[in-house]
Amino acid sequence: MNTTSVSLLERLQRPEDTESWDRFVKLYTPLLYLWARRLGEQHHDAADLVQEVFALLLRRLPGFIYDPKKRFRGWLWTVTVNAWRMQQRKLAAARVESVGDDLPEPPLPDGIEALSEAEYRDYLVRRLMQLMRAEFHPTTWQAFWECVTSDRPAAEVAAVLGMTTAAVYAAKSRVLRRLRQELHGLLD
Amino acid sequence: MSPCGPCPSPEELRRFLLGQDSDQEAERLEAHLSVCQTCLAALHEQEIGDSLLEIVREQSHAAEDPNQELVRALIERVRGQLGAVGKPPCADSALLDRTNGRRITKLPNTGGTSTEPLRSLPRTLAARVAVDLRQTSARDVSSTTSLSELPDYCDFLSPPIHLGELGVLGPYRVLRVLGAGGMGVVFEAVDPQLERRVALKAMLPSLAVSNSARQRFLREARAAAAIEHASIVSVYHVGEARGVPFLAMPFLQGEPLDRRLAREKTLPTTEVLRIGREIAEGLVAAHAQGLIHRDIKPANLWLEGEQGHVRILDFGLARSTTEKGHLTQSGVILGTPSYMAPEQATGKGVDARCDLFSLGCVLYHMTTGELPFQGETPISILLAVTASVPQSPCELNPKVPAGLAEFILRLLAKDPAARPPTAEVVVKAILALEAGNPSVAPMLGTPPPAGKEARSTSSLHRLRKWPLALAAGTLLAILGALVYCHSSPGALLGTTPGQLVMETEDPNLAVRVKKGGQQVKCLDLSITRETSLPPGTYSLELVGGRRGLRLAMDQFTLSPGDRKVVRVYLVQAATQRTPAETQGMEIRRFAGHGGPITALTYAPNGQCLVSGSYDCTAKIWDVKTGQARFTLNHRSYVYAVAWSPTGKEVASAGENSPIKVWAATTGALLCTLPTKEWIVTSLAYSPDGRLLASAGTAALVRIWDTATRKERHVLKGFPRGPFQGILSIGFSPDGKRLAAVGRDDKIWIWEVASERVLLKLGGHEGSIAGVAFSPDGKRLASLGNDRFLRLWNADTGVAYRSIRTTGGIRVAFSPDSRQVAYNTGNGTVKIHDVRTGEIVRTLQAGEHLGQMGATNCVVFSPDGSHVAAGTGGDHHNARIPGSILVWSLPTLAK
Repeated sequence: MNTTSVSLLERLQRPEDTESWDRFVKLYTPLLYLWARRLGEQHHDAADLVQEVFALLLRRLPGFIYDPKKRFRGWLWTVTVNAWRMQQRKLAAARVESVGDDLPEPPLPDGIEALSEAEYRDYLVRRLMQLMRAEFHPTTWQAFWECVTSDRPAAEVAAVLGMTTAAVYAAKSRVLRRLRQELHGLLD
Repeated sequence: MSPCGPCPSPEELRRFLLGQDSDQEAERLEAHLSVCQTCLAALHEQEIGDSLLEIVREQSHAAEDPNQELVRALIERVRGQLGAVGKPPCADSALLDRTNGRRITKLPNTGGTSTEPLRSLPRTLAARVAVDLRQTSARDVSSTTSLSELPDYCDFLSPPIHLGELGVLGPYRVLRVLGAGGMGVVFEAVDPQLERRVALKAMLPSLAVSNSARQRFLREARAAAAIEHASIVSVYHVGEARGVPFLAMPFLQGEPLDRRLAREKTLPTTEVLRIGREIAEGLVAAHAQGLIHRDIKPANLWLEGEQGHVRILDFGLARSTTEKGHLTQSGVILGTPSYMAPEQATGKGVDARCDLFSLGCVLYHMTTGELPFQGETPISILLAVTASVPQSPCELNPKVPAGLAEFILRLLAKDPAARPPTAEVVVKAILALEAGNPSVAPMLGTPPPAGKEARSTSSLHRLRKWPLALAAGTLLAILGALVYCHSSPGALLGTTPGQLVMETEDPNLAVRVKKGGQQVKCLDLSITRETSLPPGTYSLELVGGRRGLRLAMDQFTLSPGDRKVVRVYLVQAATQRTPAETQGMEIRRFAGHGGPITALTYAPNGQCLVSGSYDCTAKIWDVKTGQARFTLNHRSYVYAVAWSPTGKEVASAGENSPIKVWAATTGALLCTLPTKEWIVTSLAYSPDGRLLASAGTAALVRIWDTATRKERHVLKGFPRGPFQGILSIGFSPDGKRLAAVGRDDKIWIWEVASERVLLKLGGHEGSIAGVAFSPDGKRLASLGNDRFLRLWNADTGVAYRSIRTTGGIRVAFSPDSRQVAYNTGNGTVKIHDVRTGEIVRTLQAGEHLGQMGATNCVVFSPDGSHVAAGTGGDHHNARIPGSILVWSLPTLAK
């Protein structure tokens, strides 16, 4: 029986889960902003675009049934680019003061693409660690962090932090598990 | 069997360690491990890892996300807009409080120069931007950060490299805005090369177009850079990117004095004396350099770190005592009314004693919590400065010792002659006060004749009753000066002058400026390196200085509003040469680009050159005179230039810009070709001039019809991805084939008409930076980042020679196809024999390149008699001015 906690992506299926949406906004805002800047937008328009993307996601994500074959990063990029195209079309329409229907599709700036796989993963994990850190007891976090980032054996970390070795292993396991659960479906 | 259920399998233990198991399983294992020593010991043996663990481990090297202010503002905005999505959770309320702690200072509009709010953050270097006639008695307006306040400062930045950063300016990664004023913005930034944090002060692009504003900005940099003193903030360097001048300063911890005064109102006497003395010590150093600060006020006095050591900021209004400047000549009021000396307020000439008056105002403020001269508007403050007599600090604050009060009033004397004569005297007087001397009056020099002082005092008493009537003369002087200040200097002078800027590492020399053989000016470079001159043609001569100094350019023509930068070089002793190699002679050097040169091409007739640069321009040069005929403007870095074989047009392209096609003879823009590409790195005309090829980060080669200006072909296949793409392209001499290289280890060759890939030549390891067909069409040369120059049979694709290089990015064939040249990456150009692969020449810079560094591009003249290369190092140093070096090639002995 699998009692794994529900991932963030799954919780987002419900628009009324404000806490999860809050987490999601915090998690993805810097990334969407960078994407918007890389699409060639200056700060103002980039901020507008970020907002627009979230508004779209709020409507579409609940209906987005997670398909293991589909990658969230690619889907998010598509939503972003579509929102950007819409924004471009609106701007173009405003410029020519005509109906926007027959305007040509704004071309994507070439050579500017979504974050590479590695860049995206790094970003997401880093950002999530910032956001989730407060959810753990400081000692738990410290034990996890020491274990992962230093080459010290668990027994040594335990001695420094005044914990049992078993507790150090448990701390590391717990934090990694929470990160993994939260990121389920978002990382690839 | 342990007391807590069965021991888990190694696989279960592994999954537990990586957090791959379910909560339930983990709970069981945690309990088990707390009692089962066997399993705990087994865990020690586990050498495990997975992708998540690897990513987490990587984060220990990651820097903290810098731009939290921006991110927070964005998040707040998204939350606000999503509405239903909810209330801010309590985790962030502390952050909000911090945000509320920020002071948002609204400045009253003072004479139309500044309507922008001055924003500042606690404990960081706030904007110290010179805002003309800025009033400091501004009321604080508390407000949370709204996102809409941020953007305008950021729009001139290049897109950010890292997440959470604002962008890039010159070589710096900009992290966040520290403050902004009417003229500029101060960022917190990182110097990626030294990995140190800097305060980066950039001028607003809207103001950077004004020559005088630019000058004032550069003046500050030079002035501050000239002084080395603990009490004066140093300047790391000055630069310009995308037309925006900026300067980098140390990132200081602490707060400015105005913020401390806002908090504490008055300071203890010992603190007042220490701060006053440290200011005066800084002024001693500045005045010794012949510099008057002219804007000493609490906002320009930074209290650094825990000790609150004084650092004087903002030399934006500083003026050299020896320089007959055009910008800040008498008659122009610049400064801050509340702290301005009367002679400054009435636009009369000032000397170092005006800083002492301002210091008096600062001391008065620190002791009493009040400004000595007050008023509702700048004009009324200026009137008060020139006319009213302040109350003694003792009357406002009984704790102030009489000796200190008396000393402050002496500093505030209307007549400069009645003030202490020098900053040194002020330092000594403060030391005496600190030592407990009750009065320092005897130290302060002879006061002026009593009669004069008495008369002015009595008139001032009357003035209080009928200020306007009696101060009418003064008011007129002030108004006159104000009007002057807000008119453009060019309009008053009749013609707009141009600007000559000398650059030198060794300031101990002078430069004589001559026009028609007559000396018009002599610039002492130890005092000033910039002068304005009426438009015209001038010659330059060096006077004095070390042996071996040379001018990069000894003749130049200045057009109205033009800015000519001339560098003084030190010629180094002849470097060691390999006897077997025949050298070329550097015969000419064209200076004028403000950034490294990225691309270079000769006109078909060999009389002109076109160059592209990181200074966001391309320039067409006259090869004979070294004069820039035309400057072709782009909005961002120019990476590629090409000259049509018909000789009629020139194309240029770069970052976030369409390709621009210009008339070669007039410099007029003929048309733009939209590529929608991030960076166009390379341009090439077909030999018949009918086609223009462009390529770049999109990893496509677009072929344009030069007659219709329409895209005719797109050559595809080159691998694409983020930060990938094509770096260099070349047409075959028959125009039928095109070769491209870049972030792939193969040379791609297409048949243009059919868009078919003919060849993919592998051999290099990693990226390939340069490619060229030989003019006879037989060979192809490629220059790889693997430090090999490879020569290929252009028809069969067989590599027949590999030559070890010392770096370099561009390769060129001599017109007779017998030699191939490449830039070496250390400022020289090497030429090899195509047949034998032997090196035949090494071309070195005749004069030391200094920080100009490496050459970026190399071309042969169409007749093969010369080679030209562009310098300026790599693009991390976009501020380094690039030069074009031209060598003449003596005929080789057969």
